[in-house]
Amino acid sequence: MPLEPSVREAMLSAVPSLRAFAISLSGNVDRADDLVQETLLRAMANIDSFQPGTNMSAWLFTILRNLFRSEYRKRRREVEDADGSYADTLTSHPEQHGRIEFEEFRKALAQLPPDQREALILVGASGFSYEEAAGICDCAVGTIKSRVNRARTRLSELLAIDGADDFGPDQSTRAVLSAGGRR
Amino acid sequence: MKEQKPLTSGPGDQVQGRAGSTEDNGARGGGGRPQGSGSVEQMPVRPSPTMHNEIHPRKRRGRLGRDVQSKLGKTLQAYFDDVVKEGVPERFRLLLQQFDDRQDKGSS
Repeated sequence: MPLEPSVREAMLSAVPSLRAFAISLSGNVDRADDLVQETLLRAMANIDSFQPGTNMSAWLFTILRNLFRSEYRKRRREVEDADGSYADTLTSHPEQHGRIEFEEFRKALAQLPPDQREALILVGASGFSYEEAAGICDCAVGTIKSRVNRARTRLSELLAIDGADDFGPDQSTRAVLSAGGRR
Repeated sequence: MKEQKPLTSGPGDQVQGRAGSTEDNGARGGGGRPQGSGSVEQMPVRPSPTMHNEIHPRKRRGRLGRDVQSKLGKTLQAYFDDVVKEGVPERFRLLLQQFDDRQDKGSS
């Protein structure tokens, strides 16, 4: 059966933030788009297990997150990453995300442990509640909260955001912010 | 933007010190020095709403100040929204369309 138009519409409207999630997780646009594609394929193949009326976006995020996790685990076995060398490879290509302004931020994000990174992105940027994020990551709400807190602390150290000071040397990040990042 | 505050302070300057104006405590930043320098132009742009947490340098595992959280949050959101703005790439519309087309063929 073809997709219900409403289901199809819900899927498509989740794609932009799904991509942003995938890019934030992987740091790489090509891998991210492959992840999104794989997610959509799995979702369509398993559309019967989606309960109408529930949050399509959260469902898709869950699928993508699990795909990323299993891929990450696989790669991690292949590439020893005890010292974050794999994270370095994520950030070594300048073309990974079009905007140079976010270079420093992306590097810092890539240095977070995956569980902290995903928690922070889900709660801090994707608009999910702590409860929804806990559902997506299949863990307790308190776990999400502490991961988000640790992620924020670590990021602020990496970016040298300190008290009332502005970001360290990266003036371009400030320029982006003052230009108004929010829609 | 942040001005370096002079460390010198005459006795007269202490009037505002321990009396506990929020702005004054927030402005001290370096934390903990008993001699206050309370002159007006040293107030931070945005006074910190919490009196006690903010005057110490950030602890390793403590809570972050609100301004730090706010900056982080805005950057993260901007980074995220930068991708969201790109909308739905054509390949994903096609993907769903192809799925439907296949399903149509399969069921007829």
